Amino acid sequence: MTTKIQDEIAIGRFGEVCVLAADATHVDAFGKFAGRLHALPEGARKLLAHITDLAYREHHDGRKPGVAYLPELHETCGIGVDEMYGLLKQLEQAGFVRVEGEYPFQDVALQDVPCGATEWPLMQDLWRFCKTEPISLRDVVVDLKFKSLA
Amino acid sequence: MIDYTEKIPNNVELASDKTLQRALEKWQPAFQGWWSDMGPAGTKDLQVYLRTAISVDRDGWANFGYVKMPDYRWGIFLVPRDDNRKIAFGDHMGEPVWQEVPGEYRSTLRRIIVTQGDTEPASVEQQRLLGRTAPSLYDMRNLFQVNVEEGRHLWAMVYLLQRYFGRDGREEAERLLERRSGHADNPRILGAFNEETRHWLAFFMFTFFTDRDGKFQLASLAESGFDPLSRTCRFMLTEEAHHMFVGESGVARAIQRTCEVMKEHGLSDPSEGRQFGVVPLSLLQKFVNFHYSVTLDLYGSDVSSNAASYYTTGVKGRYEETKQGDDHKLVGAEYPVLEVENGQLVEKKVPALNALNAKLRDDYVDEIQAGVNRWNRIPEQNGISFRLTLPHVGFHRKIGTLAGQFISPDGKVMTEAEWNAHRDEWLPSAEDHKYVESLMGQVLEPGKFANWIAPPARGINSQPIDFEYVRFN
Repeated sequence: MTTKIQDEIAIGRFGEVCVLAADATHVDAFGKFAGRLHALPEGARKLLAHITDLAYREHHDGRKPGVAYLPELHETCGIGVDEMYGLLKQLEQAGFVRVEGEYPFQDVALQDVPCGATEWPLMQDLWRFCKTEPISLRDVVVDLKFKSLA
Repeated sequence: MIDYTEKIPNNVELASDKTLQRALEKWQPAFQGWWSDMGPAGTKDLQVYLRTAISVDRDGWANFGYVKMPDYRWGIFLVPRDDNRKIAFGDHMGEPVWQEVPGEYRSTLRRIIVTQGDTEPASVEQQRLLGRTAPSLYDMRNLFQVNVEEGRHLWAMVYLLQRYFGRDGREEAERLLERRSGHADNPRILGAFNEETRHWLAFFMFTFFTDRDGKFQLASLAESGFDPLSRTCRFMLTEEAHHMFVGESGVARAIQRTCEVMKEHGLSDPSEGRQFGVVPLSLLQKFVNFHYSVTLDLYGSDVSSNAASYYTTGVKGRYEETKQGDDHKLVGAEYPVLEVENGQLVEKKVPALNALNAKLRDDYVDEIQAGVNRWNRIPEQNGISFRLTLPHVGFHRKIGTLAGQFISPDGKVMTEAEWNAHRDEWLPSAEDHKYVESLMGQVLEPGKFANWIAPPARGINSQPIDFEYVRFN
């Protein structure tokens, strides 16, 4: 499945907007990311899109970038506590997020993706790209519509 | 001319439904009167930082801003209709869902909707005085958020009654505003909703344990063949999720504070802490025992022909019906229920159709246990050996096959005298309640919290913890 997705991925426009080199390394990193995304259940992808939106939208609380707070997730996405922990576990196991801190005071940090010898804040770039174009982040992350990135 | 979309946010085409408009125009003033009399006390002039649903869209149901409490816009929302949805269980399995009430199930559906609807104003009434002892502005805001949403859930049920049940429905809608929690002559329908919520610990326990029963009932009704009921319940579930978060995090913060104090003062006995103005862990256990056991009773009789009938007729499904890997008709299937025989607890197999209440309750118990396990991380993190536990399902039961039995929290069948001799070790005594009430004092300074509860780590909607979540004008 991953190979098929990688074959179809082109990220020219994405690279242009985010000032990335749309080179083989980035394409390969994005392809692997897309494969992992594809393997997630839809509910987990929806939560990932919501976490990304909360983590990168403008805040006035001095938070470090790439972090969503559990209380704001609970209040704004209507997912029950138990279901939330289940989905977060799936996202954590798939390497998309890291749950930081100790219960009941936890945060959700988005994970960068390996890109050659470095780490790439792909979700941040994706969020920026979607704001700039503008297209819906959910179209990409939930519905896996990657054509707009080409 | 009234702008119905502005006055009552909705996605049920209220503006073009004259019959429904007339019904609501009569009911709305009665609702406002009820809210003024029985809603949160002393809130008429408060500006509260609330989340208001103005649509079911992703960006529409979580709008934050200051709202003057009586001006909160109670809306009517159903999740969008799926024209391909089919009934997923029972004798009508595979048939298209019903968009109108089938005549033969009319009284059953009405009774279910009235019973569910009655719990919504009941909890507001139970909690109406809590604002006066809020441990912080943050908590006060969360209480009011829960209250307005229970009010909105009442609107949701009233919409169904008025839109689909004619004059009977309109009369039932009026009665929902007439019954009163704890009233001697005209009480709320379910027993647990006639108990006063005396303090914030009880409120947090209620939202964790009892609101979760609401979640499981709503989730079962969300499977209903009556599509408007299903779609209404699906949207209500999104709001209910936050209520349970308020409960779980509230109790967690109380545990956290107690553990901090125990650690600070080198205490290891879980009954200690009163001298430092916190709720001892052993007392928290008693509240767990109480709220868990009274909530189990809300599931009704373990063996119930009514539950079987609701299922076979397609009126009410199981929790996550479509994820169950069976025939969705339960033909010949069995389910275990507990009974007492010759002084011993014994498991008996009964037809699964008749044990649907027990099945739903068992699903609930699984989820509650996961929450208690999360709470237990807190003493563990603080190096305290005490762990909260759920009592046996037969403990302190008034409904079901174990009603009237005297069963200890660890599942031992006892005589009445033996059980009563231990009662105050297991359940909060009058003195325990008095102690917890003594801890409750209203804290109005932004960012400050009562001594018995730890502050949250984060504020609401990216606001800081010392944000003025409630403004007093």
